[in-house]
Amino acid sequence: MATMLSSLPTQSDVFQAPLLSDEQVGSIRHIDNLSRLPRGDWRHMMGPMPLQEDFNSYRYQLGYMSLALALAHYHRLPAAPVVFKGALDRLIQRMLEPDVWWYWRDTSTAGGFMGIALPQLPSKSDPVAADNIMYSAYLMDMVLMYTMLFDDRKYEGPGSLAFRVQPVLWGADRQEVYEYDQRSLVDRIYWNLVQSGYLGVACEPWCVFQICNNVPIIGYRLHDHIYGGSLASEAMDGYARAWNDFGGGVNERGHFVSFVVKNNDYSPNDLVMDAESAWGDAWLGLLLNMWRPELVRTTYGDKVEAWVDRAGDGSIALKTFRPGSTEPIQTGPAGEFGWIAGWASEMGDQEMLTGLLRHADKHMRPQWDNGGLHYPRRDDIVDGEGHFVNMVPIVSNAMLPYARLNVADGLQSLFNSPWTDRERSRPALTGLSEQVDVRRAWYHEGDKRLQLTVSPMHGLASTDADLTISSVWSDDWSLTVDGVAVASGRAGEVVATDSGQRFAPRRTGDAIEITVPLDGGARDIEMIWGRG
Amino acid sequence: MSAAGRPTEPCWTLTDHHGRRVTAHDFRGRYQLVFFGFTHCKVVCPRALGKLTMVLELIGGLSEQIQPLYISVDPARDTPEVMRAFLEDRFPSFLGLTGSEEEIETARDAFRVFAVRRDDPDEPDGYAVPHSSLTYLIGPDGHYITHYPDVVEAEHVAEGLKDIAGI
Repeated sequence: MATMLSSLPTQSDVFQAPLLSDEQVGSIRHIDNLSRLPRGDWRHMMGPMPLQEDFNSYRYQLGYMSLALALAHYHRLPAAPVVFKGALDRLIQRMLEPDVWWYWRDTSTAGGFMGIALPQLPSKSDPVAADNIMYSAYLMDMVLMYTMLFDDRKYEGPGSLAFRVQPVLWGADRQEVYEYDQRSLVDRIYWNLVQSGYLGVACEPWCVFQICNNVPIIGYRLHDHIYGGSLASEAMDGYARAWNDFGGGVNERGHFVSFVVKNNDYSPNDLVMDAESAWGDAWLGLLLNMWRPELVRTTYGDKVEAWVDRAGDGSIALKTFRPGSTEPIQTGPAGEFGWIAGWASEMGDQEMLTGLLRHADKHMRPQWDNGGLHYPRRDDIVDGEGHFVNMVPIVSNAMLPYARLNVADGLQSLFNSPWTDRERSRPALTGLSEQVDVRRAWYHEGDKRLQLTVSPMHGLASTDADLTISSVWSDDWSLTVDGVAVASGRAGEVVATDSGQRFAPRRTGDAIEITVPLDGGARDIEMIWGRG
Repeated sequence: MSAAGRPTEPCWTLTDHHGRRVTAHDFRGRYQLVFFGFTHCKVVCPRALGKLTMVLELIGGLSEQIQPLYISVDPARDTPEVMRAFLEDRFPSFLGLTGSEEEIETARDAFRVFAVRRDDPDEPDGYAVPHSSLTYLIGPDGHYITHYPDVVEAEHVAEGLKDIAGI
């Protein structure tokens, strides 16, 4: 984990970009593995609460798995779109499955939020038309991140985001289809926000959460970046003003206010729900750092410390008693461990993050499966020795990968500086055989140098890496494997050296392909342009 | 909440501050610059109406192609007479529109406008009506063109109107 939160290389640096650790590539591969499961197969993702009601619901897992991939591509492996593009696209497709959103048919009828009585409403199935920002915002972010990172416009097509229910046993007249594309989705969500007075779009009817209304700000920002406009600034300005009526969204003890129940037939006035929680502070903190870092940073230290326990070996776990009292609290199932890890990663708090990961690896039974790293679900909170051991899918599948792959202010910098054609047109790895992990993929623009390091996936001693490197023919180039010259490109032709013949370098369009045997672990592949 | 994305072709029937029944269709052929508010509003409405009055001055003759409209979100107090008294002295470019609760709700919904009656003992009659502060530009064909948040400066709005109207 030595490179966990290291500074990112700049264009002028002439050095080796950091290598990803086993745990980092294992996290990417675990998400990739989950994205490839067949329809209806949600193994490793099923949580302890039914009906898609808690924070382990598929929508949250898919949303934060997608953010983890986006951050990893943006910050860790920018020259390896092949690792991320297909996976992110598959996660989007899974997000469109009725298994993920059909809960809305029932949740839209309201009737109560835990102990709060609310009026009942007619059932609605369309999961993005009104309310339900706890789903729609994540889908919006996922498709716009996909467009931004890969400049693939597939989700601009009419009906490219379709919610289909075609039950076999209910009769053909009860089939339902709701069609959107990424722009109409943004439009729908944004104007729901406007009609809310910018306080936010509700999750469940009448319940407006701060957390879920920070998620779409990423989408608005990416929308403005891709299509122009000022939705993000309008949303942020309006949000800040609207929440000022509710104490600025922070209570007198410095913790974030959770949500507001809007006035309704049962309650003439808006109600502020201010239940301090580890998940509330950490989840909102990691998101809010995008656009209100001064607010988050001034309170991070005190707040995060309120929720954690430190062991003598440097490992860090969750408190199981309410801070400052002996009252036990049921931390764990809401994913607190993961939200805090994610927040620490965004804050650049390496000591906290390393401590949490050390605890996870020591007490939460890490497992490797098909090259992916995960932690099996465990419903008890503490083990016989009193160690916090609870593990839920949002933590294993999404937030620990997120925390491992993020960098300091990582979401903030993606938010502030989305990629353009400049980043997307650089030489990059666009083809790769399946059982290969990418440990390093960085194009140094100042040096015109592409650095790749690949290895057999975890558990394999050897394999062959079939690589496709695109956008290579802007100038003459030379290619080395582990420092040994393999090929050069001159006047559009690939010329292999004697020792490079076995890698079979060849041209395909604007790319080159080579096959690199990985029989001794990781190998470095480097291309340099314009050196003659 | 009826939610259908951005306003498309807002339709409404209201009463103007001269007591005439009017519809959105009556303003076809001119741009509509639409702002929602209430005459007891202490800060947001006077500031916005003042800014939009400045916008109309900045665009000069182009303003003849624009009908500024001020639609009440407080129909209980904002009768046509109250609207007229409020606008004629301070913001004479604007035509005030009000109506029944149902008519106002239809208009608000068409523009996706937020407004809520909130008890406030410091306010006249004990309540205020916090509301959206967007300004909408509707085209001569009655279709939504764009909107301007209230933080946008008058000069920026004026430039936008000039661009859209082709001057």
